[in-house]
Amino acid sequence: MAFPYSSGDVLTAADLNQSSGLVLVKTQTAGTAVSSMTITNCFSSTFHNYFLTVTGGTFNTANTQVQGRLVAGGVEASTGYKNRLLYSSYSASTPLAASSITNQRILWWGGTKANATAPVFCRLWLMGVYLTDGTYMTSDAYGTDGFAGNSSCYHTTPASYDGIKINPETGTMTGCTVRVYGYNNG
Amino acid sequence: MITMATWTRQELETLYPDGTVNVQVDDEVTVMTSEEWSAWIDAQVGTEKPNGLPA
Repeated sequence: MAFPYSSGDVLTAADLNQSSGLVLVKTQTAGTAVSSMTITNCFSSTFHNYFLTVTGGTFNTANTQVQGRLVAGGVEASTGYKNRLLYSSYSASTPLAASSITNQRILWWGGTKANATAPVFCRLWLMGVYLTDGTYMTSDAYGTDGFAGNSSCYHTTPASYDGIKINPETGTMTGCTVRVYGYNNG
Repeated sequence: MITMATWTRQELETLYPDGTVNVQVDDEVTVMTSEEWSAWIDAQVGTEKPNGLPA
């Protein structure tokens, strides 16, 4: 049945499958004083592209950014991450930048502010993570009380990943909720 | 010249005593073993304390 639907249409599973947009795949909430949290089996062949959010909860250290690693079968990928960040101060127009090919994690996709009890807010888009090619990731959530920016991470290893591990850059987290959404392939 | 503060082992051990740090896989939360905890502390010693700027 063609979208958009009309009043009185009887929808089939095929109709719903082709018209759903973002689909919540998995939700995971961190326990207390957790240094890292691995979310397994959240990426699959069902979707090629994903949107991941980290909301609520706290890090125990202020101004801390979240980091991540891709995971395959419970084993985290520890190499191959190329990161770059474009950012600027709220009070100055001069653009700033940072980059890294040596820190073997996904960097700079959000965190908490100068108050360690402030809730955590992060988001990350992942393209092709389950496909056997590189994974392309972007975020526009890098931010602190003084700066904001957007980041990109290219994971160069041509492999398929079914999970992700996240951690604060230092210290622990409590109660942060990770939600993984898949973009319907149609 | 800006000198960035870095973590010392003593600071980290005070903040995160052995037996108080967990790791989580899906719903399963487990306390780090002493060996895991020591390696986790070691990995942070000498790194910059977060200041909101990219490290």
